[in-house]
Amino acid sequence: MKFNQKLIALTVAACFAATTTFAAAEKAEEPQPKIAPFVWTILSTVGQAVLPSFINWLTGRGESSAQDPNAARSPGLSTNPYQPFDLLAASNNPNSAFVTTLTSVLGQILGNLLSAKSIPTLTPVENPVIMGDPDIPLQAKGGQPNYQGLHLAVVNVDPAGKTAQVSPLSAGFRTGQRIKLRAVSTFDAIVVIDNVNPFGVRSRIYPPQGESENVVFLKAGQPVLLPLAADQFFEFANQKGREQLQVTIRDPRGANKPSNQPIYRKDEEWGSNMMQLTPEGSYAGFTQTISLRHD
Amino acid sequence: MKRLFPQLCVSIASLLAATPGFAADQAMAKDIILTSLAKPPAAAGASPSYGMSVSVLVSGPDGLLTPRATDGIFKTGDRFRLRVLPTRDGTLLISNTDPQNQTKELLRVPVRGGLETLIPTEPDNLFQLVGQGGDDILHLQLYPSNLPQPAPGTLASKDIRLVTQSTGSASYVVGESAQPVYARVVVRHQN
Repeated sequence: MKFNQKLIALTVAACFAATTTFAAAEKAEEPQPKIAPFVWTILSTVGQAVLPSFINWLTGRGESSAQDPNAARSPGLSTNPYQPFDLLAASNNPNSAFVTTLTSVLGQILGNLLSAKSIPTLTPVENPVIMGDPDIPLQAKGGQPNYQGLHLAVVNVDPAGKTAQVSPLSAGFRTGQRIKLRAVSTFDAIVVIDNVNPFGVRSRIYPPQGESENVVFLKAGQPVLLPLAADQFFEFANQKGREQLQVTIRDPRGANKPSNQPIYRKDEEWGSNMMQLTPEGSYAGFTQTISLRHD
Repeated sequence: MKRLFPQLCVSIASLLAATPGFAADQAMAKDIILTSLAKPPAAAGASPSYGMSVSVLVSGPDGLLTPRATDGIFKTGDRFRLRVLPTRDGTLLISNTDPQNQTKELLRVPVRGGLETLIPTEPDNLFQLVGQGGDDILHLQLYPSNLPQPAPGTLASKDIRLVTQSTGSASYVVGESAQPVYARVVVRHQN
């Protein structure tokens, strides 16, 4: 329990004043989740390899060669001009991502039909993670792609509080290192971040929990940095053993029908990219672990 | 002129044939046209072939799975799962032949065409073969749903395996739909 308290203190209390200000601002704006239809792929990419298509979409390079920065761009992250993704392309617009309650998100989807029984707990997704490309190609049925994707990267925060270099999840983080997480998903998602201490005890560290379960609502195709407040970050100090951050990102519609398909992941220098097949009637869910390194 | 024309054609043909470069080109063209490894395209409808992609997913210390082809080298203590992607619905039979040449059936798993199945299906379970020496063999037999399943303990002959091709991360096995397709994974025990 001491571990949890210490961790929460490190991640949140270090910027407590800023956090409370941010929380107040959030409450004043009260953004409401809107689940908008969003198709991450385009028909011309159907039949292509899945992860390259996702990377092209992510970097705005369209269906053309990933090596050609002048290539035609696809929809998707078209609001961002082409840029190498090792540069940060995340702007925390309050309409792109904000802290809200799980019941609020689910209420938007299920309306008044929501019953207490249908509210899921945000437990981690247990789908296995395979490093590599899937065999099943990208397809679109009724205009909907058969895969959903997620990009996650560890972003260093320098002592001045500015974001610096990025790295894939496998790079982990070190004691004393201040980090944020960059996230982009192809679907409207809810996000929570847990800490798992060396004894295997899990505790929610972001977003801070209120009377009802808080989540971050993340709009499809919008790169964001977590924690959302500019001067918040994660930092582990003087920790020993296998300390982990666990990020869970789910499609809220998948409360009762999560995809049972494995997660395919490929790590690039500028982050980790993941895809999951979502058979008809099921919804994407990802849990990824970032470990504390002791070197 | 009418009589001369065929003679002229023959003469030109002879002349060209006598030219070494032309002869070589013609031979090459002939090869390209006549020597085809591919079967003619199948008519519309269900393909008579049936196949599967098989990968051995080796578990790393952090739980991440790395796919490998079935013809890779696996050692005592390697922890892994199997990934199977069949082209049609069917049943996958997994048997094990241990270094003492004893064969026993381990699992029967229903699989769906076009969808991957990871085996063992339980998220926390993995295969791990331990032994003192020799080879442990995992046999994978995929029976399409139109075939009757064999009695327990039946092992398909390796002769039914028609085409197997491997990349670094998967093996692709193709057979005729009248027979099951077969793949195997060898775990080498080192003393």
